[in-house]
Amino acid sequence: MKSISKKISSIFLLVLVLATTGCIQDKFDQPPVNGSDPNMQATHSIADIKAMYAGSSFEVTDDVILKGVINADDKTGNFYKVITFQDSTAGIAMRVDGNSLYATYPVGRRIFVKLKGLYIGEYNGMIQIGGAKTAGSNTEVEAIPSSILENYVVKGSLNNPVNPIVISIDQLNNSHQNMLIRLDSVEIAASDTALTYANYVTQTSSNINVKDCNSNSAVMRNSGYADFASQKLPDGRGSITAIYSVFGSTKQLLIRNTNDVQLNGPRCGTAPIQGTLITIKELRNLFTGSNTAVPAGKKIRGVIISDYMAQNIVAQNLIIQDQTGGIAVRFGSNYAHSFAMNSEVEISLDGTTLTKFQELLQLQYIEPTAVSVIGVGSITPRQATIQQVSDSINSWESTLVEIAQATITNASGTYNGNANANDGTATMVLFTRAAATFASSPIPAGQVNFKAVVSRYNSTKQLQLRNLNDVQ
Amino acid sequence: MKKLHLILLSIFLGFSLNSLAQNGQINGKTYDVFSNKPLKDIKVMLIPIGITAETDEEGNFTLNDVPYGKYTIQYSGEEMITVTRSVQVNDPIVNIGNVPMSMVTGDLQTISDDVVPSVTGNDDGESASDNNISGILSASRDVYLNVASYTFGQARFNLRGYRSDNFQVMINGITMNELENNNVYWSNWGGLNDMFRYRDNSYGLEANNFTIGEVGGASNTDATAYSQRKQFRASYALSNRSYTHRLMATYSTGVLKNGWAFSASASYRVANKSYMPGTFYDSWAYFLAASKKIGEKNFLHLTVFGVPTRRGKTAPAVQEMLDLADDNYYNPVWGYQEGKIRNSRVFKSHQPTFILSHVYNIDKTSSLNTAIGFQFGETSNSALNWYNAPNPNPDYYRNLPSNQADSGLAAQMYELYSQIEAARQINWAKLYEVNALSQDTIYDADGIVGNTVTGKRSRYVVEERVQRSKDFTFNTYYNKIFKKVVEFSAGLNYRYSQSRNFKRINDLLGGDYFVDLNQFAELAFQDNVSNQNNIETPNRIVREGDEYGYNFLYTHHKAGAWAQAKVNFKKVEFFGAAGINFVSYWRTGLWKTGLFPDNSKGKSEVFNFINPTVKGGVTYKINGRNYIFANASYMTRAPYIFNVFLSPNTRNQTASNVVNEQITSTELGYTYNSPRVKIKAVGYFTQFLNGTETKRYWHDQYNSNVNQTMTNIDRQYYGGEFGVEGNIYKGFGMNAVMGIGQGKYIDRPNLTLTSDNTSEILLENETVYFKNFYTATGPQWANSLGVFYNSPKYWFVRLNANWYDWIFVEANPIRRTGSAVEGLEQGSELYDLIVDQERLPGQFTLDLFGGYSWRLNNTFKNMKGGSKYINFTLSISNLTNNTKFRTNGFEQLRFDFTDRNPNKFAPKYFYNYGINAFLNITFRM
Repeated sequence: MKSISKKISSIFLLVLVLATTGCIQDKFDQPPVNGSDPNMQATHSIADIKAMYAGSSFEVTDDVILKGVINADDKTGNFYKVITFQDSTAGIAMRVDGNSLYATYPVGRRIFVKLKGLYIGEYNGMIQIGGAKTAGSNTEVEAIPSSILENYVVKGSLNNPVNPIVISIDQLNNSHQNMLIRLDSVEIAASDTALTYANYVTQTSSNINVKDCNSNSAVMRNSGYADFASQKLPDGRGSITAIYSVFGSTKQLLIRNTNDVQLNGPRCGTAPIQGTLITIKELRNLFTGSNTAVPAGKKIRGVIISDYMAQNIVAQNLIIQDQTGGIAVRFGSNYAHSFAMNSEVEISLDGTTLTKFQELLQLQYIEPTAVSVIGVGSITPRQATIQQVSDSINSWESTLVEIAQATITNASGTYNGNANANDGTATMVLFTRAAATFASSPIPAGQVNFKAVVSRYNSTKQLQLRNLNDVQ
Repeated sequence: MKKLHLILLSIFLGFSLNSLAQNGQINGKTYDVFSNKPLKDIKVMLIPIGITAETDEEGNFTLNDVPYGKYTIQYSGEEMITVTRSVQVNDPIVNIGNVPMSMVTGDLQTISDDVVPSVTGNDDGESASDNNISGILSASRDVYLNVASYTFGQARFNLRGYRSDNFQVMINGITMNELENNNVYWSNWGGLNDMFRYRDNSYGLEANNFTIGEVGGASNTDATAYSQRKQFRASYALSNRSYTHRLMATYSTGVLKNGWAFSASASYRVANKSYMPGTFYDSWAYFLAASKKIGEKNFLHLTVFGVPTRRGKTAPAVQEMLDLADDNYYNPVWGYQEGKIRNSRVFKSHQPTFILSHVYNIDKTSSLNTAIGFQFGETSNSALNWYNAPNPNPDYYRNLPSNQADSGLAAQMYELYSQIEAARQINWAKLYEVNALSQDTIYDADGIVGNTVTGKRSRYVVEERVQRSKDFTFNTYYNKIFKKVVEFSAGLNYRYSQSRNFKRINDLLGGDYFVDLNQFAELAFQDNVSNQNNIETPNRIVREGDEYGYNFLYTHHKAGAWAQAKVNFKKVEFFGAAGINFVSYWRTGLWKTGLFPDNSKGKSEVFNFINPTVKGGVTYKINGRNYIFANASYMTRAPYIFNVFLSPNTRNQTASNVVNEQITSTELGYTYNSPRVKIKAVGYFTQFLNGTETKRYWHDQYNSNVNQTMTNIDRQYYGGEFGVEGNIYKGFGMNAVMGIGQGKYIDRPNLTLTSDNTSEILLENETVYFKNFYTATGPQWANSLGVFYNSPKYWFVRLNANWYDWIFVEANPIRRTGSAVEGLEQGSELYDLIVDQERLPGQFTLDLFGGYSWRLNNTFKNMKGGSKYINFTLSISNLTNNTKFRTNGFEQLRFDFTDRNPNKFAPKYFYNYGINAFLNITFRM
């Protein structure tokens, strides 16, 4: 019996030994994912190419290369089978026959388009890049099949900022086609405020009338396939960020998502925020050391320096700054606000309280209706060393600073949690919430310049980035 | 009449008078038909009573203590074709004479098991009936079946046009057909060829003594340690078929003095690239068996085996893609990842099987075989899945040049696809890139309010569609010979199986997580409930190894009983058999889906079926060599659960008309067997009525998987099987074989189309104008002409020339409905293009097969132990490298109702391999 079991086990051993020499590889290497720019240069600006269009579609026969940054994508479904991109001169749309293009071509990606062999045409006044002439049309062009798109498009770096051109409706003209623009102090026409963005049940598109307080109007066109189609339109006044488009002579706005629509303030013609204007420094000075009710009949005005979209701040809070100082502001009842960074707002102080939250001075429980967007502003950050920030934290709290030539380090290599910033003068915590969109982004090696909001958490003095654009 | 009665009476009386227990002795001898030399070590067994003996150096054997009666005597030996003879023992000494045997012309079973590539439909369920039954009846004694199962099997010829669910396959008495679809998964014992040699086959309606069987036949393999000769074998095979290398080793003790017998076998099959591009093979196999003889009458056997396997699959493609690739073996399911080939469709399986069996030889005329079997394990098929991202399949129809209206753009696409291999394959790097860019935040993740998960949300994943099952079987059958004329058999069986079906994340492709949402429901409903695959844990975050998508059980019970009596007179044999099966099954949903909260979770309706079988036949023996037989059967079969539940992934809804299928079959045949010439001619006529069949595929227009259920399917198969083989002169011989038949729909089925994502019925009981359409069962006319030479110097060679014809493409039923051709003029070009069934051209192939057995003892006289051999076999199929041979094909199940362009969703085809070879070297002692 013993020899039998020996023989049997040796059979298994034999096959095992022989077989392991021929084993198949199981785990595959993960390909690198590089979002870096290729070594290419633009030969023409987008405006140059658009200028070549003279009313009938044509094939580009020269080695023309355009360079631009994608300013809208099809993530929400409001854009369909198109990639729009812009450079400093103009924007243009490229028709592509494919779905979910944003998977590879998201907003912020730089692309290089080799136009040779492609066609330039027009659709109701909109200049477009296509793959072929549309049969039977002198002006229109066909979509480029997605399978051959990479013959023409070279992908570059990611997350490049696209800043909207702030403009008014009456100033919009064809040079703004396919560029990201922002209209401030506009609202949905009263006839449309009860509607949803579009009709998702029948999946039909809607034209929503948008006007400013001077009765200039434009159309916000929303697709019935957009994932926000069933949402109700906001009825306040504020800003709309959109890709500018035309349909014949109609001025059209195509939003990327509902974050582009910030209509929170009082409508045109309604009374502005009442009260006596005080500075933020005056407001801060009202604090007595314990919870302090702010006297009625006062308001502050400033620019929002926090970025709710990047989520490095709780959804209920914003930070506002004027020439005299800054302060953290908190909305009541878990209200997740959507007041955009750089909006200039007025806030009524009626019924509010000054309090300390983990030693940070905070103005609390603001009603959404107590905030009115009155325009767009900007705050120039204070150039400072970390040592200076540390020394002046009491007066600089909740204001924007810019630190030069600092090194940021964190054990994890990402921003998440308490990183350390050192500019040679001192070290300070650079805090990033786990929920921040950039929490898992890698920290660049070497020295950087960065902007941050001065903050504190109990006794810890700290800096807080708003978004990744703050790091240069 | 009166006279006849008297004769019958006297026959019975005569037998009963002679029925006093008397024992006799059988003597006999065997020799090699080619060398004319006696054969030693041939195992001779008397069926059913199990008395055995082995032949000596002179080829002689003796079986003692044989009760008077009629038996089948079976000769089997290593590398030899098993031979059976009938013997009547009614004298003290019966001499059966000198029986010729011939070498198995190579490892037929090995080759036919491995020749058919494993194929996947492009979408689930959307593939031709590609289950092949070729392995079942190979190495048979039947001249027709030998060629049909091996040679024709490669060309996807189906015996009688039947699908594999019409053949019952048993191992040690345990049925291996799955309860869910009656199919047999050969891969569960693939690579263990050494241990699965001893098979008892009955083809068609032929009677056997172990089961009542299916309409196509039944086989029972004896894989007990007791039946394996004492031997050691080691073999190496080299091939360019499914695998490149095979290593196999086997050791059997034979029956030891203490009554024990042991067997062990193991093998490894591997290929980095098999015949089809992008496929690999990685399969282990193990086998352990022990037998113990307890007293004189009882045998206990335990057999355990399993085949852990991973292999890369292939999917058929439209002809346009094959032309772009300039390769009829183009395979769309792989791509390069960092320079290495990666297959997206990987089949994984490991289902260990345990069989404990007991043979009780009650007395000299009766025996009882009882077995319990247990099988469990997991099989899975991987595939790409994607969420809000472009379809990654390189052969996606919208990306093909034919779908491009502009000729300039089409030309650019043509150039890209035809010039750049990577464009025709999966772009793995792109999938990783998309996932890397996909930063996303999920709120209220896992249904926990305030739980926020941020990171790279994979939009492409490799998923596994898993079936985890357990299957328990009890089977017993009893054999008794009454009065030496009546062979009585009866059996009872019970089976239980439960399988859990779910999807699992295999690879996040660089992402951090995936969310278990139904994106197609998201397209239709803009809420956060409908899109939940499991509303009890909404927004569930899944990572590698996590289950997602769907999760449900199929539970089956099946109990059966049967009995058969076979009466053997000198000139005539009759048999009659009857059986009944009780089948019960249901679905149990484990998750409540957002779309169907009311009927997705919990137990479905329970379906119960009663299925009788009756079968009978007569054989008339003109003389010892000429037989005429006629058999007939009627049975009903419960519809398979897969076909009854319309959308099992999402809910409990079932087809409205759940009925048994009725199967009637008759066959009439003639055989002639002499040592030099064998002839077989059989005609058959079979009808399958009231069948139900469900196929599932992805439908763009509805943005959903849809389920196409056909009911009232009436099919008919009739045809002839002819074979003749003769030894012409001193080892030279010829054979000619033809299988000719017609498989057709004989009525108009009804078609119901449902969607996974709505309860709305998309089409209901639409009439399918399928009358006289052909079933797609590979070539319906197959012919082979062969010459062979068997040398007395222990080598052989055989050459077969084959012609296949009457190959029909599986028709898409939707194209044959009124709505598909509404408004078209009957007989117009477009009408015909939509409706007519495509027939593929007939094809020629040539196969060469040879072998040599080298007996080492003559060369190395000093070696210890018994005889040692090295055997070489070489099989070269398709010698002329015919790469244009489409063995079958199917129309895609979508139809372009807008433009009615039947080529928008063009048919997909399977091509026969070009020249391919299998070389095997075996050492045995």
